[in-house]
Amino acid sequence: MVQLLSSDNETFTVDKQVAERSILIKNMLEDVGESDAPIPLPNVTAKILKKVIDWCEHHRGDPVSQQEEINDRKRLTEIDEWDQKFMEVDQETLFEIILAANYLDIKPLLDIGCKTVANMIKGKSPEEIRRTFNIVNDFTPEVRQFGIISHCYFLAMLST
Amino acid sequence: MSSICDSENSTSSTPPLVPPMDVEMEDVQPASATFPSSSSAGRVSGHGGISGSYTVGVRPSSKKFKNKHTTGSLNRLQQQTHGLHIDEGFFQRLTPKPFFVGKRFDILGNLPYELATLIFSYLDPSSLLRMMLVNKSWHTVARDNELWKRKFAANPSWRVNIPVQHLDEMDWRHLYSQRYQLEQRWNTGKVSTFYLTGHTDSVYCLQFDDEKIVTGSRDRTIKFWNMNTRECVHTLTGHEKSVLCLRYNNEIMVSGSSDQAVIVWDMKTLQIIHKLQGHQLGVLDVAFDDKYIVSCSKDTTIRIWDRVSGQLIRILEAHRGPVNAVQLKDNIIVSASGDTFIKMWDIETGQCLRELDGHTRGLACVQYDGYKIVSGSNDKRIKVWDAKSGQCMMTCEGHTDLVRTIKFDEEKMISASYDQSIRVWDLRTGTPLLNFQSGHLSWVFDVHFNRTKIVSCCQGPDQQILIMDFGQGLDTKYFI
Amino acid sequence: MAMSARRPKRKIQAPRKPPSSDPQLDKSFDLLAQAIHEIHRKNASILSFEELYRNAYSMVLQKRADTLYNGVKGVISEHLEHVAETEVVPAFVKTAGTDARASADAGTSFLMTLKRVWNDHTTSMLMIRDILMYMDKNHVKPANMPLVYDMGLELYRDKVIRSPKHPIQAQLTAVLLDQIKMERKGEQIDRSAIKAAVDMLVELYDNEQKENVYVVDFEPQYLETSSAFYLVESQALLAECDAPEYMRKIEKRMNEEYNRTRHYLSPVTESKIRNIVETQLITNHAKTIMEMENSGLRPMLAASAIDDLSRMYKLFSRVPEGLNEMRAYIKNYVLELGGLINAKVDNTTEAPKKEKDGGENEKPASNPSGSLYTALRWVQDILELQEKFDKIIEFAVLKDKSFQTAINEAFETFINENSRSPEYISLFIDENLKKGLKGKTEEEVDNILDHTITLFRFIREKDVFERYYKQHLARRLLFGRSVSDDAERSMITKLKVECGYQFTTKLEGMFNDIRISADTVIAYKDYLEASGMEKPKIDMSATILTSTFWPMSAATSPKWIMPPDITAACQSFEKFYYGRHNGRRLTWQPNMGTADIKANFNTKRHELNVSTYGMAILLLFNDVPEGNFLTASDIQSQTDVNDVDLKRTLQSLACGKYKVLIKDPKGKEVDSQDKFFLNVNFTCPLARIKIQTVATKVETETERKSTHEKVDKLRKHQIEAAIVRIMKDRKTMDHNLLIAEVVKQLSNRFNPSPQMIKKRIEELIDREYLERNAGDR
Repeated sequence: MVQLLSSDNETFTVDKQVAERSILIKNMLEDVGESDAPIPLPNVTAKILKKVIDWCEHHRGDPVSQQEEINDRKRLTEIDEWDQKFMEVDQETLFEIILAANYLDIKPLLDIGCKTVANMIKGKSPEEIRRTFNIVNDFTPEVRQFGIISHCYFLAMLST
Repeated sequence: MSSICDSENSTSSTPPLVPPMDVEMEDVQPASATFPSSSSAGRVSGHGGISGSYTVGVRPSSKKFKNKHTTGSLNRLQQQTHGLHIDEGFFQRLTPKPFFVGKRFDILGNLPYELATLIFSYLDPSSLLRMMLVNKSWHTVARDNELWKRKFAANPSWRVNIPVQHLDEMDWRHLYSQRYQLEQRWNTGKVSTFYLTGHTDSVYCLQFDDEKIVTGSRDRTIKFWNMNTRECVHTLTGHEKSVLCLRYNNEIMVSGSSDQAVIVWDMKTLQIIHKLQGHQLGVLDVAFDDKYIVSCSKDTTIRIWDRVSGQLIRILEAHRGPVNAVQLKDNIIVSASGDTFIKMWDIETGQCLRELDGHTRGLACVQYDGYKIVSGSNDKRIKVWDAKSGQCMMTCEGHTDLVRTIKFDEEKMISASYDQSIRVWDLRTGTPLLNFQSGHLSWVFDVHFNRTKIVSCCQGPDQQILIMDFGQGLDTKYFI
Repeated sequence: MAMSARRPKRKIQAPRKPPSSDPQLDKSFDLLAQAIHEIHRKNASILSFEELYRNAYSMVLQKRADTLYNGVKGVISEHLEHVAETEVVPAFVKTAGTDARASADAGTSFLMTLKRVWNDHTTSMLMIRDILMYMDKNHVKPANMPLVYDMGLELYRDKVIRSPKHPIQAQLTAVLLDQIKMERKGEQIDRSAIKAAVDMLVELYDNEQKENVYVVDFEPQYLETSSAFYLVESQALLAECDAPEYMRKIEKRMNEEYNRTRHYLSPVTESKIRNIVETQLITNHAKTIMEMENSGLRPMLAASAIDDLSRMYKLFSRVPEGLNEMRAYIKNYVLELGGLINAKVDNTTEAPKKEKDGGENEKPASNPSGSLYTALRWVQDILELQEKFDKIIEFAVLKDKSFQTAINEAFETFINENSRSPEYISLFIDENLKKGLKGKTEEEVDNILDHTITLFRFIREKDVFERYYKQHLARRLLFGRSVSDDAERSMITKLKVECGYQFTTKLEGMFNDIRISADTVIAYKDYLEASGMEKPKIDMSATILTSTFWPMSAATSPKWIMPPDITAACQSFEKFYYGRHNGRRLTWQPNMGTADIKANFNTKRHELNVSTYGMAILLLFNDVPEGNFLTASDIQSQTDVNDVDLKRTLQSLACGKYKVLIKDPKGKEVDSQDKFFLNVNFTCPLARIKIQTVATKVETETERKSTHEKVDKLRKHQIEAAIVRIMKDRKTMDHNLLIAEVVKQLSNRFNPSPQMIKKRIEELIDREYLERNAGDR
């Protein structure tokens, strides 16, 4: 068993096998050796840490694939049902989860997070995007016009 | 867009996460005072100590641009219903995905660059293009060259030949769009058409590359045409009758004629190197490699000549009828004859290796790449064979007259016929893709194609040489 | 298109911030630097992995990865320099002490120090790498820079091993070489220490040379010193060892070096060091070893020292050209021995030549059976020689084909140097098919015949052999001297395999004749019975020889006067035979027949089996009153037998073992005036006595000549036949090509010389079979 300490001082006890889904934690345990002291994770809040642990628990049996990103040509954005539900959170949380997965080096979770965001983006117009994510359009008007016109042209040529 | 953290509000001592992401835009201005920095509401504690407030957008200097929402408070909690009024409406498509309840938040803009590109790598190209319009930082990420390079590479049939020195500078997004358009044109049959005039009679045979087209005609001449200017630059004489077939590479050109002779030309000087006599009737097709020249004739034989000395090495009593077409690869000769058979021969021993039987009438054309054989026949059918086993794998019907010429690459095959049409087929499934009916006014004798063009020739005297260019106006120089 | 006009930059540029403006980031780095120090001091346990990782992570996210990387590099660099100075250099071996042992120990201790330093470094680097993993993955790798761990190795290489300030590399190499040198001398050293050092060198990489540091820095020197060492060693060994021992030592050294490389050097060195040892010990001295007096190749061969030969073969086969010399040497040796065997023959036939008075009357060798003995001895010697070398080939050189070929060539050469070889070999076979084989098992018989066949293969003039074989076979068949029909047939089969059926058809024909004759004789007997004719007084059985098969010339039957009784019998038989076979002609061959005579001597009655001539002579004595004699010339005139045969027959009757006639004067020589008496007092325990005249003998010089003439004549025909055959096929042919083709076709039987062929061509042109192409020479 391993103990993880969130930034807001909450301790979580997890199975070693579960915890080692995070490559960072895995390396830590190897290098530093096991001790009873909990591992501090000042980068991650309890809320997020809990989510991450939940995910790892659910996926504890998954094979750890070594797939290189570059080889993954398909870039399929399919996510299985459980993971989909898992990712139905608000945007901030989603953001946090992605960052946490990146920091803790949990590639599959990172991928799912990214795919989720990608799915949120797909097929939307720029305006819709801005609305979804509360983004301000910071192009100058000339650039905007320019961009739009050429972009229209561009997309028109590309439209299938 | 840049985000700035107010350090005085930090609750933890760890350095802020989000680095200022600068973009090569002008007008990067710090948040103006009018812009509420939603401090408490916006506090997102946690990772990297994103403490403190957090501004979302940067206003361009409001002098230039009267924007409705300078007055209102742009709170992340508010929906942007009265957003910008430039109508980009005609991009709208698809039902918007359900908004997530809760705070809306520019996830992507706040992530490290490598994660942002990771997200974008899951998007299709059109979506990516749209992302470029969202705002500056999204634009930058969407423009990432690596991203587009991978998108390009995801199409296995899109191959490029880029000289090493240019490799680092390639704009992959641009390449992608050019290639994509080329692809679309092939899919829809959108071509620019050109005709070459100059021969005074039917043109029987041709070959082309990026710089030139070479044609052989019933008027006994061989003409060289500049691919870009489409003008005739050389006319070679040497045959005493119609030039029926030709083939060239960087060093030599071999042509065959009704005058029963085979002529070997030096491609650099355009002088005749050898004139090979021996066939008893017109020479219908030629092929060559480093060592041998192979010619086939109406006299039912195939002759094998030494390429360097011009000496006759062997005569194959090949068929029971005229041998209309011949191919040579990896020391194997494939011949197609009016006697309805295709035969495979070992060039060194002269032994017949295999006989392919399937067409019900004489064969007019054949092509062989070492693995497959594709043939066209008077029975109006096209057949695709597996060379190793000799099995016919596919038969394509559609032409309404003799299939006179056929060529193929890894994806498609193109045939032309006495029915005046030029057709494009999917090589794997045999599905007809395109059918050009009006290109020629008479029997089509030969057709060749590459990534961007189809060039064909037909019976004269008008419009004998047709170029159909799919890449007109596109930047296609790197595509192979 | 408008969009394409822009060329956007690929990278997002980092903001132009003044350096070290961000205190937070500097703090991060300091933390990390401090941590690295602690790791180097082996104090890692006090560190918080997570904290360090996080710090590094943040730095990367804030685009300070380069700073981090370079900073870390600096820290490690400094540390290594420090280590080199304070730990490695003090462990240097003080100038080589006089005591080899002490200096070895010092060397070992230096190596151990180095090993410790290296291990510490690698361990530290692993920890550092783990801390910096995010940077490695996301910054270093994409930028194609060396990963943290690799960077650490490079620094170690440049700051410690190849330190510009301290001669560590030189020291290391020197120590290693020293240790190895000692081990070669037989001292014990600490191998694990060396192995550790070698492993370290192997792991370090030299980017420019594209090889590891072991190969670049250490190996060349090692090979050089080894080369020098073995140069000296080889001289020393040669001085004190004989050939077999030298070779044993070579093997020992080779094994030693192999082990050395396996145990503590890098495998890439294996083939290189092996090469050096081979060159120095074997290649450079191959000749010397072979030619060593009393122990070199020659004595080994003489003694058939299989072990030593085998060792030599194995060793020499490692070096290029090594075996060529050995093989040539052996071939020469065989030729020498063969020459000796041939010389023996010349010596024994020397004597009689001196006595030759030219022409036909050559006196037989003083020891007639001596010549036969010589012939058999010659074949036997060669067979023994062959056996000896067969063993050598099989066991010593492992059936190496090239050796086999060389030895065969030698055999072929000296066998054919003896111009009588076809005859001798045929005689040997003859001997074995006559008496020698009795009592041997079928396998033994087969064995001997096989061996003789191998000799047969070497003969170039196979047609000469054929002639002799026929002659000898004829005698065996006619005089019923072959021991075993099976053995005969087996021999013919073997010859057929070697030469094709044309060679053996006639031989088989001879067998057939014998068989048919037996049937014919029975038929004759029946015929006599049936016809009721008066039986001739003499009981006669005739063997009918088809003239083309048998070696006698059938044209003329040797002149002689048939005794009347014989004539009658012959005529009777002829009548019978011509009745059966129309168109055939029988020619009686008295020189090949035998007769059984009942002779009444004073003491006993004996039955004598003599040759036909002998019978004619003895019958004469029926008319000679007792006590009277006949001179040789008397006998001659009455029988009309030719001189040579007459003399021989008289000798067999009067000078052999059974003296049925008495000769006056005594002595082997027969002159025309010698007197012959019937030996009425002849006694012998046996009732039936065989008196042989025609002992198979070595041909006399004259006989040989005549045989060769006959052979030559036949050859001329064969050449012509070959030429005609070839020309019919090709229609036109170049002169030299034609000659070559003829030689090829006839090589199975004999080697025609180009002159002979040319002559035949001329002849054929004369006879208008061939025509020269106009315009040719």
